[in-house]
Amino acid sequence: MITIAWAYLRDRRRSLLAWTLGVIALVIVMAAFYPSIRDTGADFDAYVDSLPESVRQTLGISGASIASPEGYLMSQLYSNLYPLLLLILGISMASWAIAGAEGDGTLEMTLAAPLQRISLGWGRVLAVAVATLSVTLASTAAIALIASPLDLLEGLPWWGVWSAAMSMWALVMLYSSAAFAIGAATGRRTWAISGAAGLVVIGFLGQLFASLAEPLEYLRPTSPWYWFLGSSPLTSIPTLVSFGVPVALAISFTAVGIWRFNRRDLGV
Amino acid sequence: MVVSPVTSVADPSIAIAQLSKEFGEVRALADVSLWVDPAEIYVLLGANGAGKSTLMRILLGYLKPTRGSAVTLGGSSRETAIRARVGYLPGDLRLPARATVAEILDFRGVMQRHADRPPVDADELVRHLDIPLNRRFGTLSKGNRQKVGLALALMAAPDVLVLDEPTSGLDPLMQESVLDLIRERRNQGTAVLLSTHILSEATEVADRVGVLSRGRLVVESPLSAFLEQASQSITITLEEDAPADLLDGLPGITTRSIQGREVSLVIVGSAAEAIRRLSPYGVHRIVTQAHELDDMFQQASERSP
Repeated sequence: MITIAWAYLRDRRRSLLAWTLGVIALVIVMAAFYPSIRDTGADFDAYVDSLPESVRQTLGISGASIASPEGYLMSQLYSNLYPLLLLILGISMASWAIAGAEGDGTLEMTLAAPLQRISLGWGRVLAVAVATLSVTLASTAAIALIASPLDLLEGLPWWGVWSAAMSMWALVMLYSSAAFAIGAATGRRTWAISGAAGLVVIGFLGQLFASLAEPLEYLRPTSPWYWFLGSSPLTSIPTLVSFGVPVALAISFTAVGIWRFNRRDLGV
Repeated sequence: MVVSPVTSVADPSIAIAQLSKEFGEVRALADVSLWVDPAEIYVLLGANGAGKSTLMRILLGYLKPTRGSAVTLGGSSRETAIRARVGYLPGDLRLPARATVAEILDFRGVMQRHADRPPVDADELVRHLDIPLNRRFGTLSKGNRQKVGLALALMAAPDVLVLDEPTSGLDPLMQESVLDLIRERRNQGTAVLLSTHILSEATEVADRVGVLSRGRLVVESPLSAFLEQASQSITITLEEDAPADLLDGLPGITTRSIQGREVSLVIVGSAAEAIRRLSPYGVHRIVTQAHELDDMFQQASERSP
């Protein structure tokens, strides 16, 4: 399984390097803007205070000033482009793992080697997990390094960004495994990407609308985005809900996808 | 159908029994039975869409048969231990475009070792096939890509080789070299199932031939018997005029035309008797042409029930 994962990563080493540098560039640019936001904090806080509490929660800045490190990081990074980029990476790799390889014909020769479909499936999901975790940890390291001169972690525990990184990675793996499962079960990459992307959008917008419409409030805890953003990831360690449940679901989705993949005809 | 006089050894390397495959309403294979013994090359001839690739993909475990069975080395080729003894080259070879040839071969070598079937010396194969190791697969010519596929198929020193049009895209010299490799494997005991639509390729390597037409195995016979069934066009120029009824009653002639010194025949089997009858008139020149495979498929299909 490790050989399979390694080969999958090796074939994508250049694009993974580009993704890593791209995400690091994003977090550095976003972090670099923090001093200017902090210095005009009163104006931003007045604007944020005018928003409904539910919207502030959705943006991850409930109870924290946007000029504070926690409010800034949550609103500008962790509920913004940062997880989105990692989701694009994870879903892209996971949807290619079986369905993409089947579509472009390379799966036929991969399975000509003496390996089980089950090993191939788990090996490639392991590669997706390693790739997304590596990019997450590298970009988190960049935040941690640049934070000190910018006072970006002031008032936060030193492990706060690492804790948030792990919860965010669990969210990414949850949706990536959904893409993998759809692709492995159907052999169609388009379905895998659109299915997982649909779940991402439904999860994000669902919890947003549920926060705005009181009758739907009870639905918020069903959204994986709520599990992540609602768990104060910068100030608390990963919990069962923010880390354990998404990882368990990711393993379950992967198992279901592989079970179906192992039993169907291949479109090679 | 031509019935092969050859019988299998007790334990064939490939045993396909009453195999059928349907994709919805489309019937890709219908009741196909064949076997391939160790140290035998079985060539599967057929036009595009005849079912050759489908049969091979069932044998490799990519597709499930609708009915019947396909057994490799006594089991399913989806079992790792059996797959490690099978070499496969698909008709449309695709490998990761960004990986180098060395990385591709290395991956296969590692998987072979994991399956307790260490690969043969890849360097020797690489030299023999003249493969550029450090190039990315996506930058290779079609011929070089095919060579990489062959190297992967041969790396396991396989007991069974399944080759879907293995010389496709290769230049004539390399085609001959590849056919030599295949014969060499056969001589070392490997059972080879090879598909092609090039008759000359079949005649060079086959021990037995099967013809698939619209999913049915319409002919199966040893190569010599198969070629005897093949028709050929012969044009003979004589030194003297021959009578128009000279070849009447000659068996095997399907078409004939004698116009003075020009004789045109289409004959199935040996032309020796026709030439013997014409020889008193002075045979000046003989031009023969084997019939195209498509014609043979058509003949075979027409003969099939």
